[in-house]
Amino acid sequence: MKTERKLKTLIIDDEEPAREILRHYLRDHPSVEIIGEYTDGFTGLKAIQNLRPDLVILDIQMPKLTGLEMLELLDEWPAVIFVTAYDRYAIRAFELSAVDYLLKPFSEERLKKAVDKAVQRTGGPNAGDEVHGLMNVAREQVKNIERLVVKAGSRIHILSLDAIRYFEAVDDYVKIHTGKERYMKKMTMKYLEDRLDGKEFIRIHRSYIVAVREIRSIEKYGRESYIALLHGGEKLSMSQGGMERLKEAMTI
Amino acid sequence: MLLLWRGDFPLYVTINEALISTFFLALLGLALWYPVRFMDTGTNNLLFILAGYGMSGAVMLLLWLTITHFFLRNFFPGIQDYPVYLNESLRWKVVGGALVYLIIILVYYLTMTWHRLREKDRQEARLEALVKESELKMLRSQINPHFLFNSLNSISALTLTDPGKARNMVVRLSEFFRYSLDHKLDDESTLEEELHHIENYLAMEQVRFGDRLVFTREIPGRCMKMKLPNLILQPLFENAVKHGVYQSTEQVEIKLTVRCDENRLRLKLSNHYDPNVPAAGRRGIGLSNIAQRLELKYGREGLMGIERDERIFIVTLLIPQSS
Repeated sequence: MKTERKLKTLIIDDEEPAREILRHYLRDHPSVEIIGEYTDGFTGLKAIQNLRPDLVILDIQMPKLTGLEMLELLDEWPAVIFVTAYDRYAIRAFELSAVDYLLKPFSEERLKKAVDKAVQRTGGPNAGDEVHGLMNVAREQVKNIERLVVKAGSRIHILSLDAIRYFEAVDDYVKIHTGKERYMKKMTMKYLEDRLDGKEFIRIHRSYIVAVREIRSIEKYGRESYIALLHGGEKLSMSQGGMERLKEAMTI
Repeated sequence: MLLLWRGDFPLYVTINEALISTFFLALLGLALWYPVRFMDTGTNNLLFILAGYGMSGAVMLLLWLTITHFFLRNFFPGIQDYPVYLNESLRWKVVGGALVYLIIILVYYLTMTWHRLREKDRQEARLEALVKESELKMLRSQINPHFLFNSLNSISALTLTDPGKARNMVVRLSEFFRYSLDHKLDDESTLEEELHHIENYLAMEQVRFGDRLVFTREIPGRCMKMKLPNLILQPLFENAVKHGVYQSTEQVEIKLTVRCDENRLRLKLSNHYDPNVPAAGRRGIGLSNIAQRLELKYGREGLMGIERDERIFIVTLLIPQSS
């Protein structure tokens, strides 16, 4: 039988008592082997990449990087059981996808059921599919973007919106321009435009979303186009529609 | 308008007189707005109001008649009998003028009442919204679900490792919720009582976060009996834990410093935070609520202050003491 093999399992939760319970409940589970415990999203992410676990039991609310932000940075996902106390946004995303989640405090039976489900799934080829589905649902659930998590090489950066000067569309990616650095993140301009505060960030062009505070001046360029000059010296094309959105944002 | 044309004078004289009289009456009528506003001080003294309006009416009539007659006399000096007619028509003008005066005042009164009603409606709606909102916030802070479920989870873990402490935490958690439920926001407690409540809260969070949360305090004993609004400290500590401890992997110190004299209690709460981690949620909604509560209660602005630098976030409260 396949289940003879134990699932390599990681626990990622910043609270010792919460890990304590998980350890206790899983201490002699026949199909689970805990191969590591991590207390924040950064170390958790590295551990997933290095140790390639079959299953991750993951807390949502953690310092620096939330559980969901951490998963966003992975290219392939292990099976995940989410654990959270109360997080309406995350729970809504769970409900809309197929992932298993536990609400603290949970019983030993409930955890075992979740693990059994994971055992069955990890036998199949696409163990991470549910997580993939969840990531899509969770992204859609976000109403306002307050910060962005990006990867630059092996380093992870959490960007505050205050630090972002403008976004530029590059194929399937968005290039994020901050003070000195540029980061690439896979997402669409439409997604960003819908979730950024329209008074602070303006879609001035098909390819640009600019922080209003960064605009130094606007010059007329053609009959229906303009050039936006930024404080950093960049000159960005601006469309008629972009001009109107900017005017609207400035007047209200 | 008061002069009926009887063919004694040419038509233009009559029209002129009517125009001039009406013009000055209208002008004085407009100016009447000010005495009406002045009289509208909310007093119920009927004698005062009657005397006031009697006086302003007399003044207006006198002014009106003097001015119009001055003009009319100088306009038609050549016409015989006109000055005589003017003098004769005087009492009719007094009666008519007084009537117009009353009508004008009535109209002003109606306008003011109407405006006042509308303003009152608007204010009531605003107040109602504010009360509803704060009640809702109150409910949510009484039963902060995040805190409750995490605490229960911690207690569940303690039953494995330290059953005695688990029992102790159940008591603390109960005390915490009982205090929140029993204390009305618009009432006051002593600093000692509020601090006990905060200790219960922090004890729960310390089980969750262990060494990551360190609480230090510097409070002179004589300040302990001083009063402050119920549950005013809890949101400050929740905020410090949320933005300091939740977001940090390192140890975070939360420090409360208290100073007092007979007239005021001064509290300063500081916590470390990691400036490199932009908060996932917005800071300060809970804090602005505190500032609002203090302003409403003591009728003064600026009782709450916020300072921050690279690593430390500080909130100060100044609580006036009534003797």
